[in-house]
Amino acid sequence: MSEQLILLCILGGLVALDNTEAFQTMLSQPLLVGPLVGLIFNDIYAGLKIGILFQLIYLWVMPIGTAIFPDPGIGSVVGCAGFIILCRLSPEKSNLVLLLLILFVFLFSLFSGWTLIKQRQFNSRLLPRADRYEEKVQLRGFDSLFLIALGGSFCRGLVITALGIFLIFTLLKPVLNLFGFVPEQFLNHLELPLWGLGMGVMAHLFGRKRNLPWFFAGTLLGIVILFL
Amino acid sequence: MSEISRFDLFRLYLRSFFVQNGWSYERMMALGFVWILKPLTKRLFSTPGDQKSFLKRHLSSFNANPYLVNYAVGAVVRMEEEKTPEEQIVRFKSSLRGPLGAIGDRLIWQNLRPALLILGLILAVTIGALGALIFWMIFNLYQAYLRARGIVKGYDLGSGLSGELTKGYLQSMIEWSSRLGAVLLGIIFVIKLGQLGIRPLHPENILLLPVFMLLSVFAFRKTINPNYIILFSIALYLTIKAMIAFF
Repeated sequence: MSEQLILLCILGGLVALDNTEAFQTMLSQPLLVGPLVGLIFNDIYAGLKIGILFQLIYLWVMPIGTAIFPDPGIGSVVGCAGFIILCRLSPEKSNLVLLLLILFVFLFSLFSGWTLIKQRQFNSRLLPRADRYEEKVQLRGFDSLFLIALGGSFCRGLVITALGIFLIFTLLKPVLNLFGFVPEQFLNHLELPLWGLGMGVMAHLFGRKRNLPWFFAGTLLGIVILFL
Repeated sequence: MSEISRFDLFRLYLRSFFVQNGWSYERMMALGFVWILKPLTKRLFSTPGDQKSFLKRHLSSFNANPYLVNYAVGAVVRMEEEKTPEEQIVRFKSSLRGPLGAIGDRLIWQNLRPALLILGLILAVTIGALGALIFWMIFNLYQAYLRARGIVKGYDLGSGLSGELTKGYLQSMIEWSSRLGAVLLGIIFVIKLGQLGIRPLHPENILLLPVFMLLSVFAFRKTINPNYIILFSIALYLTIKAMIAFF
């Protein structure tokens, strides 16, 4: 478990870097985070399943300009890990675990987004130093600022992930027991509103009049795939 | 001073993957931008005074879409190499901020990334984790190409870059990724309707999926906070389930 926790925290750090500071390879998308967390726990399928659902919830997030947005990357690391851990502890309550984690990740991603704002405010403090390096034409100084900013982002992801896992153990486990009376059948097909939400975002982005022929072509193709 | 070689551009290209490092609300990408250009400081300018003013003008506030910023990098390198007057470079950089931000946001965040994510979701629900990996590979092959294209085109065109941004390749990519998104939306809609409502048969799901989808579209069109839409969708679903169980 301790190795898994360390790997999760490192993944959290990498996701934080990928999300904003470096590469932007989309590693921070829940669709990819899910299987990676699953790999750490040797259960890729469970990770993928929950990753897909978080992806649907956060399809709308677009880091445009200076917009303030939730940070679903780190939220998904924590959420996927929480799902796998709690489902192993209470396999008969998987639907309730899913509901609780969706709500938890919802709040946690907002918190993680807030820490990103704080980190960017911290980056502002590097600017006077950059001005000093420019004044003295001290080129190596820029490398140190580069490493500070990169390290800060990685540490943010690492610490926030550790905090999230801690919260899951301290808060969600008792809550799971508290709501243990809720019948599992009542929470069946919880993915349905999430798929509806995700497809709504997709339709909002691509549902233009001039795209209608393309949409219908896709629908026909979908029917063919479905019945193959 | 020596000319900029293709190898120099390649070095800048590799550095450009870190352009958002040190992003701040005060000067946005300035720190990342100056870090990309840093290796050219002594190549292009011999006197400390020139080096200082080079660093100063690129430490000023700048922002763009991270995937398209290389157009600015390439063009600025060309202008610096040609010893274009400082105020002209500053004005040019400032004039690129709007187009590079707006076009990049439309291309990547509003069209290409969601379209490829739908593809990833379709593949993930049909063939598993490999689908997610395929999404990742396609996206990154394209972003690597787009960044490389940006730096080469920017360098080749220099201050005449604006034509490349407003018409041609980028605009047609926006159009085609939007069409791709529409096709994939049609496919995923049918596949999920089949998985949730037809096999095995759950007639209520066949009705509810389009209802939630339309509700969500309506809420997004009305620019309701997406966080509320998420909570409302889940609450509404639980209420419907409770009512079905009750009756």
